[in-house]
Amino acid sequence: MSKYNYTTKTTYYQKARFFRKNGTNEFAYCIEPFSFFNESQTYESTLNPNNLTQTQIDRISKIAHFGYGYKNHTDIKWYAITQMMIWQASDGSGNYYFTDTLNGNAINAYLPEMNEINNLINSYDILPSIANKTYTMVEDHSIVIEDQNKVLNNFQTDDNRIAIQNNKLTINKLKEGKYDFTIYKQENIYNQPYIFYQSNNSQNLIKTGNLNKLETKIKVKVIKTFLELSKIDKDTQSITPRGEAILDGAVYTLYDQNNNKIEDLTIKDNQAIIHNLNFGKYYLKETTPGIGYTLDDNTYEIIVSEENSKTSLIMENKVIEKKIIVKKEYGENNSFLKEKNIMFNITNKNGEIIDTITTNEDGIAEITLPYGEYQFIQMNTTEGYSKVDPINITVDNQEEEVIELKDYKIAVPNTYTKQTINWYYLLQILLLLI
Amino acid sequence: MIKKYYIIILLCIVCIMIPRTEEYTKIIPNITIINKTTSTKIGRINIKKIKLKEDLYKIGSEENNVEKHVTILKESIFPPTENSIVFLAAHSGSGKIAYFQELDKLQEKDEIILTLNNKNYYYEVKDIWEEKKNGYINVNKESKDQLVLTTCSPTKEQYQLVINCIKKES
Repeated sequence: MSKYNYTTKTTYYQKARFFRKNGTNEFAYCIEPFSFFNESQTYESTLNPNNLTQTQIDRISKIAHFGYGYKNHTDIKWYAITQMMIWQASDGSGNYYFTDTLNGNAINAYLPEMNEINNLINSYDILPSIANKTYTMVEDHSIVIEDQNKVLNNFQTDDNRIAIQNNKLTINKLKEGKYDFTIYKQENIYNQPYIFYQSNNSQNLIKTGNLNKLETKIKVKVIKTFLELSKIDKDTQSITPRGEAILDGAVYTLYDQNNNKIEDLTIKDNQAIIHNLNFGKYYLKETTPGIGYTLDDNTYEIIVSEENSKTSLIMENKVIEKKIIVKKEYGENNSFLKEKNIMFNITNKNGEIIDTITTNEDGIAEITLPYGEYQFIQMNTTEGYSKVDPINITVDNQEEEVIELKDYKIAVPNTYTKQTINWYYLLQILLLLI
Repeated sequence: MIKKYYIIILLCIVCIMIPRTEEYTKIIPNITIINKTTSTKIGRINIKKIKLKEDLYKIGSEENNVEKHVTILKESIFPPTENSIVFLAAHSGSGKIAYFQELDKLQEKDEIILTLNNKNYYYEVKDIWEEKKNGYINVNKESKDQLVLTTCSPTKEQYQLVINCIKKES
């Protein structure tokens, strides 16, 4: 191998050789390519040798780490390759290359090996895609995040609230708040850290070892979400139901975006709330309306996200209504006339008058009533005709109902029977007496 | 003795001159027009509670007469026509034609079976009331099949008893 100093325009040729520490036989690499090694000099150990920048220290320590002795890099060629790469990194003023013989011609030897070391260094420096990012999750839900850089498996954590497996990070259920989680990478190949040795009168060295722990953080924000449904009557636009209908008891079913049922929400006190619904898209459908209401056949799309963590929906229900048409007639002998100006009081089940209707010229009066039970009470009548008995009406469907009220005035034959004497019986008695 | 015969003869004359009672007038025509009743009979009313089982005759027939039978009033609309209403009238009081003599014993929910054209219709009493007599009764037509029975009030003079019945759900 040779090195050419552009400053002095001098080429140095050198056979690769091991630097080993006396006593321990541990090997080291030269980090001053144009200084000579003086075996008699003493060295001081340091993490920051004065001839290198921090960038160089970082690169050289990684070349040494992934070079000779790393996993299957046991052939001594790896030492020469590692040394060559360390020189290239430590002093850019020179040109470094392998030669075919000592003082021979430059050759492109060991390029694959150098590429492998470079790849290992580059991979080592790659952080997971989740590093230094902030994730928002919902209270009481866990999340799983996959590392797009596919290096997460090289990291570990000491925090039992998170777990790393199969290149995925699982964050367990947490309460509302902000959390910082640390993951780190630390390879223990050499059972010792790398260290530099420097001397004023001899070339500085590096002894290979484990790299510094590579740490990164993941920030997690845990928030609460809620989905709130408020139930109102469509007509009153309030929680006051019409008629005898009841808003409470309506059931909505929540589905995920694949139409899988999640749960039923039952309206109570005009409300239903789901706390901490996880982020995602949902669909909501009413499956059972409140008593006396028609089914709300809308499908509501709900997106729960960090920006839309609180969803409040006002759900309307239309009360069941029935149109009641009263046709009032009166007459004799099947000949009927339309009976106009006949009033009917309409009472609810508590006997309270809720409305009054009056027949028109055609003897017709109509009203639309909401769900409930009612009585139609005739208040007046045409002279000579009786009033109809109160009519009970139940509104529990939407089919129009016609009530035909005919007052018959029927001529009846005289059904009076005189108390007749049984004359023959009387005569018989008289004859006997005689 | 002669005086006694005079009295007997006098009583016989009186008997002959006395107008026939309703009971009597009923019996004769019934016997004489048996064939006719067979042809005009259209049904029967059966009220178990008062042990009444009487045939009914076509409106317009001679037998459909309150002096002979339970009478169907001409305003009647027969089932199975929807919202039918059948009016039946008969004498109360005493005598054989007093078919509705015990009509006032009926109460709400009591059952009346009306047979028309060999089909039975089951009614139950809904309302009972009495109206001042004026030759008419007032009946409200309901959106149901009705049967209205009427006779003179057995308890209140110059009042008409009216019983409104509703056909039972089949």
